Amino acid sequence: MKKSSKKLWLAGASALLVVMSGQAALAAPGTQAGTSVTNTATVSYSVNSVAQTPVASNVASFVVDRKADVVVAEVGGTATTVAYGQTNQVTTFTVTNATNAIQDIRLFAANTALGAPTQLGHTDTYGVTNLRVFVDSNGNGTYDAGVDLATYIDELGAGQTKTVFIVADIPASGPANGVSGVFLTAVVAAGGQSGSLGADLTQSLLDDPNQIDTVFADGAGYADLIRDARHSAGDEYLIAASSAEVTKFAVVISDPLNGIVTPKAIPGAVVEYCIAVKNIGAQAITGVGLTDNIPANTTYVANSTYVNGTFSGGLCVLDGSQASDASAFNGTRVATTIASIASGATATTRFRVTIN
Amino acid sequence: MIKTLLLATAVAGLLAHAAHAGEATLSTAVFKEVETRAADGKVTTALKPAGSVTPGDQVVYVLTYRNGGASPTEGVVINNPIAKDLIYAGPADAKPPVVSIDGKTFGPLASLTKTGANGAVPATAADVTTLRWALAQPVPAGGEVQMSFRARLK
Repeated sequence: MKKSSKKLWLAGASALLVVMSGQAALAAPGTQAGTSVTNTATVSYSVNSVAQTPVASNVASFVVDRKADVVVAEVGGTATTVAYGQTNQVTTFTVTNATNAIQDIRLFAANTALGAPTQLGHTDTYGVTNLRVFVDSNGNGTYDAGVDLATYIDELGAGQTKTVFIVADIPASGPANGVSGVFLTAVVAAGGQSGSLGADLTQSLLDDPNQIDTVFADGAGYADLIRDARHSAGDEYLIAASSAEVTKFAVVISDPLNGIVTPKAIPGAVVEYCIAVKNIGAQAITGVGLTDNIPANTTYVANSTYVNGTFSGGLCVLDGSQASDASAFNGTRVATTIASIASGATATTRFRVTIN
Repeated sequence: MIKTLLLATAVAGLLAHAAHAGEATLSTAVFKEVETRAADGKVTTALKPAGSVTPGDQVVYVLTYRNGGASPTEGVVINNPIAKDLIYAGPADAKPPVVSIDGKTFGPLASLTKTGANGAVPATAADVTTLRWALAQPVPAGGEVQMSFRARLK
C-alpha cells in the first residue's frame, strides 16, 4: 500500500518534468510560478551481505512562488521635439514583464513636476496636457492613431516585452525652449483573465509551501521605489529651438505727379510696406502673428493688406491672399497671422499707405 | 541551536510519516536558509520551511537514512536526482556527495568533463543531475545518518 502510493507520486513527478521543460524555453525570468519542485531519493543497502530491495524516500516538494518584477525603459534616449499648439505628440517606451508568470500590466502616464529633473537630465519648465497611454498593438514600434487602442497590457508572458506610447497635447504657449518631462509607470497586475485588467498584485504575508506566494522583486525606477511591483521611466517633450528673422521694407508705388514712373515719397504718394518673416529655426513655426502700426502722417489704404505672400529679390512679390480689413486693420495697426512657415522659408505681409 | 531544533522537529515529523518498524527508511525534506541579524550584529542562519521560494533562491534538502531493522546495514548507497528546475549548489554539511552529470559516472565535480563544441570541458554545477552518497561504515540497528545539500531555483 505504502509502496504503490509512492509509485503514483513518482509518476506524477515525471509527468510534471515534461510540462516544465516546455515552459522553461518560454520563461526567461526563471522557473514558472506555480511549478511544483519535487525531490525523491532512493537508498540501496545490504544486511548480512544480502542486498535488500532499494527503498524510495518520501517526496519533498515546494511550489515556486511569483517573483513580481517589471521593467520600463525609454526608447531612443532623446526628447521628442515639438512645437506649442501641436496635438497627439508621442514618446515611446518598452515594458517588459520580468515576473516568472503571465501578468497583466497596468499603465499610467504623468507629468514631471515643474522644476524637477527629467529622466534625460533637463529641468521641467512646462506641462503637456491630455496625457494618454496606448500599447503598440501590431508591434511596429510606431504609434498608429485609431489602431493602438489598448490602455493596459493584457496577459503578457514571462520575459516578454511590449512597446507602449505616451500620447500628449502641447499647450498653446509656454516658455522658450520649454521642456516637459513625462513618465510611464507600469504596475504588475493579476493575469489569468484575457480581455480584462486584473487587480494590482499584493505581496503575500504568509509563506505557504503549497501555494503561489507573491514576492515583489522589482528595482526602483524614475518615479517609484524598489520592491513595489511597479517600475517607471521618463521621457520629455522639448519645444524646438525656433527663431525667425523679420525684415521690413518700404517701396513707393506711385505719386500724384510722376505716377508709377520713378515715384517719389511726396504727399499723396502711395507707399507699400513689405514685412518678411524668415524661419531660421530647424522646425516649422506655426501661428506666426505680426502687428505693425500705421506710421504717423500716413493713411492706411483700404483693403490693401495681403498675407502669406512670397519674397524674391529683396522685394515682396505681389501675391499672397487679401486679408479683410475687418480682421487685419483696427484703425491704428495692421495685424496678420500666418498658419505655418517651414524651416528656411520666408512669408510676407504687405499693406499700403498714402503720405498725408 | 535553532537549526538543530528545527531539523529535529522536521525529522520527527517525517519519521512518523515514513517509518516502518524493522525496515530501513529514507526521508527527505526541503528548507530555506534564512539569515537573521541579532542586535549585536551576529548573523545566524536558520532553516525555515520552504514557503517563499522564487527564482534565484537557494533551498536546502536534508536526507535522513534510518536503519529501523535489528541488524546493521552495510553498503548503504543513497541516490538523489536533482530536479530539472534546480541547480546543485554544493553540500550543506561535511559529507559531500559524489556527483554525476549523466547518471552513470560518479565522482567529485572537478573530475567530471562534458563534451563541448571544442571537445571535453570541465563540468559545472549546473550540469549535475544526480548526487550519490556511499556510506563507508555500516549503520548499526536503530542508527541514523543525515546528509544535506543546497540547490538554487532556476
